[in-house]
Amino acid sequence: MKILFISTLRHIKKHFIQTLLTFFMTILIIAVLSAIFNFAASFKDVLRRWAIDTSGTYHYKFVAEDANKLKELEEGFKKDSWFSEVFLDTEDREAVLFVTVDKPGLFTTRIMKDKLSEYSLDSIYQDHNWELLVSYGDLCKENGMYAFLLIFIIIITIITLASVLTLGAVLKISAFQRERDFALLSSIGTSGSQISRMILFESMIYILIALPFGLVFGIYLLDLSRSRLDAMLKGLEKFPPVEIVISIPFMIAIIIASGGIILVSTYPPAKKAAKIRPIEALRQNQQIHISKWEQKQTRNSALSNFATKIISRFFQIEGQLAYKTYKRFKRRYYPVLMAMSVNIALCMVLSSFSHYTNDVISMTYSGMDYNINIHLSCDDSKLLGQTANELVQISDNQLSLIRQTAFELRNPLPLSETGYGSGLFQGSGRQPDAVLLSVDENTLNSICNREGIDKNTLSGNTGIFINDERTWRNDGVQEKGRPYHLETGDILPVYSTHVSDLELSKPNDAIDIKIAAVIDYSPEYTKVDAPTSLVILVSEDTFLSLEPCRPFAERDVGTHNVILRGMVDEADVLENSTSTYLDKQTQVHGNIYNYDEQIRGDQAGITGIRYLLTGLIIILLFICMFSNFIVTWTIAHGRIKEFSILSSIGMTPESIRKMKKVESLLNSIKALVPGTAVGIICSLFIQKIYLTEYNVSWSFPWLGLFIGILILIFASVLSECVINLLMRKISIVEGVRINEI
Amino acid sequence: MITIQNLTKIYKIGDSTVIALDNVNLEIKKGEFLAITGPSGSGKSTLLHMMAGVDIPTSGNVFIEGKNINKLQPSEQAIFRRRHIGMIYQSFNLIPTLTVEENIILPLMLDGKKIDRAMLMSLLELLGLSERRKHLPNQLSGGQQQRVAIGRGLMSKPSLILADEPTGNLDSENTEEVLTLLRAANENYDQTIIMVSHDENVSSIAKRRIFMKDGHIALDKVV
Repeated sequence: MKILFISTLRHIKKHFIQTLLTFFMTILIIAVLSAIFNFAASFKDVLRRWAIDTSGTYHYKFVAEDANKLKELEEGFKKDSWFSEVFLDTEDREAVLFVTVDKPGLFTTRIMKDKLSEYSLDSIYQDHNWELLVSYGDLCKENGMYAFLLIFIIIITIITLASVLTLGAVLKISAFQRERDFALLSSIGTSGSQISRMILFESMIYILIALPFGLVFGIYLLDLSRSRLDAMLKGLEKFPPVEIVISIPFMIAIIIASGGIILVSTYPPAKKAAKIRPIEALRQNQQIHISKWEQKQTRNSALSNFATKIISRFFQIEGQLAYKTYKRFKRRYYPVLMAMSVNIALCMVLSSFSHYTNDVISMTYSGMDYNINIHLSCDDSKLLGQTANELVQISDNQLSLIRQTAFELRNPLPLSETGYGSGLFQGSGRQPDAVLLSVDENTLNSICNREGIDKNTLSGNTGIFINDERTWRNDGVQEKGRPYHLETGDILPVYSTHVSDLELSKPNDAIDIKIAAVIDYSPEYTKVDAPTSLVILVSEDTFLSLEPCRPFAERDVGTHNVILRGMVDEADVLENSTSTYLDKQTQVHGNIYNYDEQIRGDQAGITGIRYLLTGLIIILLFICMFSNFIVTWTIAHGRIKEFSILSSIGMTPESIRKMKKVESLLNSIKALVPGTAVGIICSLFIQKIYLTEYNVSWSFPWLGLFIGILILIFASVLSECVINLLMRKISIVEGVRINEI
Repeated sequence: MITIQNLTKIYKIGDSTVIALDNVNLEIKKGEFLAITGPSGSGKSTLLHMMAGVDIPTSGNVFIEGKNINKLQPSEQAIFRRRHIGMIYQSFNLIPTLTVEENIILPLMLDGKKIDRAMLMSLLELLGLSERRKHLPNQLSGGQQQRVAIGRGLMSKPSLILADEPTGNLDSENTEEVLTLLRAANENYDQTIIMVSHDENVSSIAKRRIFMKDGHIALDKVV
């Protein structure tokens, strides 16, 4: 066997350019895998740091008003070695049990669910630090890990497919070059499996030598892309900066993936080489070899005749010859053309992704008539008003007062039976917590009957105040609702809002709701599980329940709120000056939202993603180009004899060039058609995903297709240059004499 | 018809120099059947290739029908070849993706000429290939393939046929058939035939024989 491996090494050395290109290609493949796997490791680290920054190192949190309810959990968890830290905090109004899992992993959430099933969790609010768990690889669907994993798997699959195709094509060509050698070896007694191992040995050499270079190069590529990765992640969320993390398990995964690619790529040519019959290969040296499959392809079916007629009409004899050659060499070019199709599809996907994302950004921000939103809150309404006026002056009156002491709610009046409503409450300085709801006539009748309210007193702008003291959630944190006291005869001015949380109508659109009756809360009065502490029945098809507005409302009793908003010329400048002003205030608390900065952040994020996808496509393109070059180079050698014969019987060089161009055109169409079809399907699929949240319209990804066509033209020009280069080196008579020795 | 003046071809292989043709002069008249013989490496095939314009001489000229073919541009050479010269090789050199019929009419198709179907059918009949005309070269025997190559050389009725060891890969029966065809082409169509062969029996059918040695014409005999 040693001598067979030596023969393989000599073959590799003999075809130096081909070997070099194969090494480059393999290095690129491993580099891409390395970059992506190491990005996954780095992203996990980003998630971990972000999770700890935003919500701490605990994994689970349980909140209850009654600390005794949590004691049972505490005792149980302390006995369980699965938990490393169990801490009960009873200092605040509510008791909080912090729990840390000792070794979080893939199934932490599922295991926790099983453990919790042994306990009663009534009146206990639970939450988990899902970002932290995700960073440990937790696969719970709710935590969004699935989406990330899905994207990761899709990208790795595409790269693996392209790698197998291109590497497979090169190994196939190498095996083809050595067919005569294999036949001779077979004739002297070498077994099929020994011959297969020769090809496997060749592919192992490529991987083993390329592996360290590829791994390092991949990390380098990742480091180069760091700023873009940062921009991409910041556009999605306020993630901390990316730090490159090299994880041993992920490195092992890269090595296994590379090995897998090699095995899959090697199998078809190795299998074929093992079956070679000595006599068929030995006969090759007398004439240009054409296999039985290729022979079948050159027979003329009705479709083939039709195609020949069309091609002859446009390209004459050169087209006919090109078409016959195209049919004959279809199989050899197949893997490379498939890889080119994948590239075209990816270009179209990138183009569609850019288009939809730009649409979404436009949609999100186009309706806005403001780019700065400032929320102020203060216990002292007079000081608050004064501060608001000063800020309006700072902004040269570009800011306007939108509302005071109010909450931003959901849907406008009038409402459907089960829909949410919204209203802004301007009370007497207290904090209402309510959501505007609607109720059907039967429920209204039921309420009135139960509470002994004369339904006739409800008309127009009167309402029943329902005192609801349930707990509610704000930004995922369970809090107790604030009781609000209204009495019969109180007046509530209510402002309607639009659907979007971002727009509010003018304050003078308020309607005054007069409280006709006051009753205690009952679940059937609210048909939704709304976090409310105040529900007001307004009329038979509307009742008002106000909810704390997020994220503006301060929770302290008595705090007043003001919102200032406007379309300002220089949002960044105003943000800075407002921030500087507010820093000097001790009693007024302010939140500034600069939507120009938000848009820039979103666009930077999208640009980051676009950049990374483009980089991925370019690398895949290089892999395809290398493979294409190797395949073309090898096939061209075999075709030199054919071109020389044609030249010797009178085909001019211009005719031969024309014939080659037609061949390139036919191969290009073969790559373009499936690539475009897949690109369109992917584009529609992406649109469908976006449609779950945004109303984006489909548009044909022309730019992606154009870039794909440029790629094909480049590949064709490259092929032609290869053949021209070879033909210049060999005279007609030398070409005719190839294989005559 | 053909005039060769001071034709020389020198190959450089590494540090050594090989003189394949050494100042060869030759005149060939129209309708002649000339055999070029000699030992291996004597320059027979090189001389033939020079006449066909598929190789470039180091010095000297080749005139065919008054045209110095070495001075023509490659396109002009190709056009000249397909109209005036029929090439027949030892290893057939057919286009593998074309059928028998298509291989034979290829030079005419390259010239954009209309195919005389009657002539094609009679030629196929003459070559014994009528029933194989839709077959690919891989489906033919060596003798049949060589007959296709001859057919390709004859179809366009070139004034000059150059055959390089046309029977080198054939058995005796096929050799006899090929030689009969060449003789018929010479006698019936007055085509000039120049045939290279190392086989004395094969070259004996020619009316004029040239014996080459070490790049020179050592003997020029009319039989």
